[in-house]
Amino acid sequence: MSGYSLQQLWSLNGHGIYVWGSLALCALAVLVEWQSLRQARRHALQRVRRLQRNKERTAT
Amino acid sequence: MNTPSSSPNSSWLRWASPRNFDALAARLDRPLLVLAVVLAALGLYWGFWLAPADAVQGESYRIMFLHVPASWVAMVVYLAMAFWSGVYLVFRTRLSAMMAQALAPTGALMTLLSLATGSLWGKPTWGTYWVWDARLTSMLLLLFLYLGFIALTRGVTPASRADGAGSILALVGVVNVPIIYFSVVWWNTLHQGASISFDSGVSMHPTMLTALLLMSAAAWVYAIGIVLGRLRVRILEREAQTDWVGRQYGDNGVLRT
Repeated sequence: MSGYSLQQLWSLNGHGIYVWGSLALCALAVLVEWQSLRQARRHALQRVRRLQRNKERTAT
Repeated sequence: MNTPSSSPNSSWLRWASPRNFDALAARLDRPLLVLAVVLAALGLYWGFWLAPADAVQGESYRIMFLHVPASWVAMVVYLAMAFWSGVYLVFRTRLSAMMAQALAPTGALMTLLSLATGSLWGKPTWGTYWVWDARLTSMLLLLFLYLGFIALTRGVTPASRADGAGSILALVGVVNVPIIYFSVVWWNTLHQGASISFDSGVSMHPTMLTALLLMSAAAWVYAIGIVLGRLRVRILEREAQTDWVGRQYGDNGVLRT
């Protein structure tokens, strides 16, 4: 694809929608998975801290 | 008497402890994700810029650089999930069950990507997004197995019961993996044969092969990194009440993130 114009690169002889669609789908899926993992970790850490505070409050 | 080699703290068995494994995963997960981005950038450059168009399929074959790695990871992640489930059922090590549960969402996502990119490749190549042929149907079954495993391990209480039920499902479902792999040999299907085979070798342009190997490496490294990250979350969820988690991740913990 190194010699293609921008228009040719986009259309890829009529296959652009499938090729770029696949790439966009994969990129989106990876980003969503990574973001949801970060969110899950944040929630898990908040829960650990809440439990620890409760434990300390009960002990004192 | 415990000799150094038989002591759990000095042998490989120390990694069966969630605390020790969490420390190892904490050092690996982010560097692996960075490495995956670098490999994917190189693979995309090779596959989408340097590699020539295919003589038969034209430009649509480039979907292979996304579809094949996703399919490989989807199948091997299931084998790994079944392996850790087997280890859990034999040794009852709770980290094994957590490992299987950390693998499942990434396996499901890779299966979904394999099916979706396969559909997008199928339309220009076969003229249809979907056919009920052996390869596609067995891959869809793999997605249902992953989803069933996730639903079972999250829906059943207590956790020990969920671990056992999920492990059995993972082991029963593993029979589907060789069916997927050999489906193109055993039955007449629209799906093409293996891109790289131990019997017939490689039949593609070296640039295409380099791109495929780079994208596969990126998918593998990404999967390992994200699974280690999810395992750390699973460990935090399951071990939240333990003292070591409080000491490491609490308000005054040494590892805050």
